[in-house]
Amino acid sequence: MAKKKETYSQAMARLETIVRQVDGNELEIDELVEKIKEANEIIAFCSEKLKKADTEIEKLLADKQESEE
Amino acid sequence: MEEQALSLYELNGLVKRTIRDRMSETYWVQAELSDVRSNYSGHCYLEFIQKDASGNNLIAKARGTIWSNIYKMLKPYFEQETGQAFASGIKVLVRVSVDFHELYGYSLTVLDIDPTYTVGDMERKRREILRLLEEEGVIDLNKELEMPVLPQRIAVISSATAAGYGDFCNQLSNNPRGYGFYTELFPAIMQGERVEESIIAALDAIYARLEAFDVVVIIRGGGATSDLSGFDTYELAANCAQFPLPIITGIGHERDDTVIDLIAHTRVKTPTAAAAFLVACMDQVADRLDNLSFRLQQGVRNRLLWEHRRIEGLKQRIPSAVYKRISDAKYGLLAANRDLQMATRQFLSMKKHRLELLQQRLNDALPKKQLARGYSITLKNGKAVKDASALKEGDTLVTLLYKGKVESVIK
Repeated sequence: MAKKKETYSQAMARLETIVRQVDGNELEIDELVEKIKEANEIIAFCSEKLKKADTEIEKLLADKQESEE
Repeated sequence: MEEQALSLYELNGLVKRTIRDRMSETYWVQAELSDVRSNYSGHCYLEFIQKDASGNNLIAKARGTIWSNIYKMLKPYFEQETGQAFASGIKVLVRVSVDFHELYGYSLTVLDIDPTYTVGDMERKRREILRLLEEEGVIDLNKELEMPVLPQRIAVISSATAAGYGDFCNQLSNNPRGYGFYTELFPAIMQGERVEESIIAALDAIYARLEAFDVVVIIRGGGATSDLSGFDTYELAANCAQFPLPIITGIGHERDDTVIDLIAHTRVKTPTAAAAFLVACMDQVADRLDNLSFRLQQGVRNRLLWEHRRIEGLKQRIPSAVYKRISDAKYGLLAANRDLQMATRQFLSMKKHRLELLQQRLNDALPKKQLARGYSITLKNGKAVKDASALKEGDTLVTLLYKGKVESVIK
């Protein structure tokens, strides 16, 4: 819940870091599970934000076109 | 009285005959050209004009005709000799015959021209006005004004009844994209002597409410171009040049540029063209807005798409990276295990080898092995003889061989 105030870019930065660590074999096996859990949470969080942005932007663009006609 | 009355035709016929009889010669006459036009048949129709000393008012005017057989030689000859187009505003010296027609009235038929008599009064006067404006540094002031981005509030100077004003309003209100325009008419007299004072009064009225307008449009529909002389005055030109709103003129015809055409911000040929120009200004802004809006949509969609791909890419990298990490760890474990086994085996086999060597050496030390090689053991009284001096004659020796034993006696 502490992540509530986290921005999209901050979350993405955390995700990038985790993926880089996994890629670079920088993680202890002990940490791996926790980190993957965290990554999945970030992906869900960011995807949700994107989806919301998608919907709202499409709605705004549609409104705009309507008002033009 | 009625019997003595003439029909109009008879009267005109009388005038015609009188003119023919009394003015049968040809005359050299000085006049200015106006409204020169030639038609498909090659005949040229024009007006000859003369003005008073101030140059603002017409004092004489006559229709003129140049038949095509004359015109086709006269025009190139004149233009070659003077370097000027045979067009309105030029003062000429021509030889004419005077004609009168019952229906068409008084007119002059041109027979010859003297090109050395060139630059017309009207043109010289225009140049004088322009020179004055230039000297005063005001000639380009109106041109230098910036056209408002959205020229929608338009002060129109025109005659309310002119067809041109109607054309302008129609063209403006029927614009295809439906822009809203607000027009307000400032009526003015658009021909004759009072053009100058009338337009200046209209400009003053607009000036009093300057904030309410974006541009001024001066339009006038049709009419002979000789009537345009009122637009060629210094006062009017100076007022227009220094007016703080851009002025668009649509007063003349292609053939004639009046002084205010030359100093106006934008000059078009007709009232319709003036409206089209304003609509085009709006189009430009609308197109720019459309373009920005399109780019905004594209930009936003592209950005979202990019983010989707980025997150998808990261998502897909995680499983393979994790599997790799785990399998690397497994492999490490296996390798360690294998190394351990190998090291153990090596250690054992080394020890075994060493044991075998010792065994060998032990075996090699056994008497039986020596006997097999051909050595023998000599015993006396069951004890090995190691010193020959310990033996004497008659001693019985037993010699042990690899196979069997021999008894012998020393002699």
